[in-house]
Amino acid sequence: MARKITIALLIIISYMLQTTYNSQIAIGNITPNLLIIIVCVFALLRGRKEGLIIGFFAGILPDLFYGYADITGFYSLVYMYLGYTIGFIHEIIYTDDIIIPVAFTAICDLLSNFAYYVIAFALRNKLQLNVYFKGIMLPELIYTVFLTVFLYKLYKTINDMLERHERKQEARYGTRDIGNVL
Amino acid sequence: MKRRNKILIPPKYILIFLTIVCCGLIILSLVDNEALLPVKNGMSKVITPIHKGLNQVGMWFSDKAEALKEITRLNEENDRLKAEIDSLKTERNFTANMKSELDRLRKLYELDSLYDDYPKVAARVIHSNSSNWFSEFTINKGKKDGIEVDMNVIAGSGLVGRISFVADDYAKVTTIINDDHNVSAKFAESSENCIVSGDLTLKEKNLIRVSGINIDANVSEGDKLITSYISDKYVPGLLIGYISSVENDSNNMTKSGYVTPVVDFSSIEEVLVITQQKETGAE
Repeated sequence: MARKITIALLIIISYMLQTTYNSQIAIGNITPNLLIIIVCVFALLRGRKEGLIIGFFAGILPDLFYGYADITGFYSLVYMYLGYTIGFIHEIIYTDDIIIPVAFTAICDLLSNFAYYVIAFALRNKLQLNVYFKGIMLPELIYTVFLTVFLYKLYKTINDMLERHERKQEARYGTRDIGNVL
Repeated sequence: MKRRNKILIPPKYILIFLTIVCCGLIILSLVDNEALLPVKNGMSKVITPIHKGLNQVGMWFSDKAEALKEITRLNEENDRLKAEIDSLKTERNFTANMKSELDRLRKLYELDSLYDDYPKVAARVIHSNSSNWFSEFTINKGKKDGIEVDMNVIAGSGLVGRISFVADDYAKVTTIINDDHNVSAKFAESSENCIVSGDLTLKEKNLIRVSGINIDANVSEGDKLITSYISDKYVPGLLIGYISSVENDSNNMTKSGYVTPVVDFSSIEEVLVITQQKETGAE
């Protein structure tokens, strides 16, 4: 329960920061993608089940307010699959090295932007991919990666606290939640 | 025991289930735009108050920072302004005469001052699109305040865009610099028609594209562009911007170029929504 509330709050705060203060946090008109950081980091820390659920709910917010041409569900779909895929990495690699979350967040940001480019631009015959890559995708990627370095530490601390709390709960009720081991 | 044992659903099934949900949502929103309105309304009930709070916090900080900077400057400015008032007073008397003359002449030509005529509603920007791909924002007025889809939005001196979606207490504004947005415009002086279309690749330079100008048209840099009478979404006479460059197209039949919009799209805080809609006769 504590985990659900905490992560819901993190998603909402990130989304709020991105939409309300976007002109303040933007560098050169480019805002970082804070939602993809949450999806990636928690998928890496907790596995594919949580990755996909967090991805779905992180996508639903921009979907409801700013879906392209009022298409609802596109971001949810993309973020969900990214979270699920990154979740596999959790089962393969376990390391404290910062390079793993940073690298995968970079890949995710690029993939989600590319998917969006295909839907909203390439299909309207705007095919100069290199212009959009240099102008939008790359700056956003760099900014997002830069923030991931700091946010990963923060999210990891939050996750550790939640896990400690969960272990305490388990000890109290004597049940064992094997959740993501499977 | 308070807690029951959790039923473990394999992630694969959750993924399949949520994929179906997403696809359902996409199809539903494509088929019927209004179908998700209740959900969006409910969502905005939760989100809007938080946005308002955050906006206030942000404004409080920027106000405080401004106030400190202002005090020293204000004293100097006060002296300067006092002197200016005197000169303006004389000027005002002069312009009052001119104004009455202008009014008389306008009546003669049956021209109306265009901007002042449209009924307007003021609204505040509450949040803007989180992605870098499109330039849209949300205002704090919605269906309850009489806002409807396709109403024109202006800020300060010029055209911002139009309402593209309305929920009960918020509305989404698509701006003219948005990549898939076209406005039918004309030159204020020469009345040449043209098309103004937003382009993401030009956003950084703060320009929008203008195309379809007749090759014979006598247009040059600095010409004023306003919305045209033939536009089916925009009321006529709203200022869009000024031509920054224009050149002949390769087909030798039209000219195209770039416009600098009068509105600064990176820092819009308050807008005016024109509640009068363009009459297209399609009712």
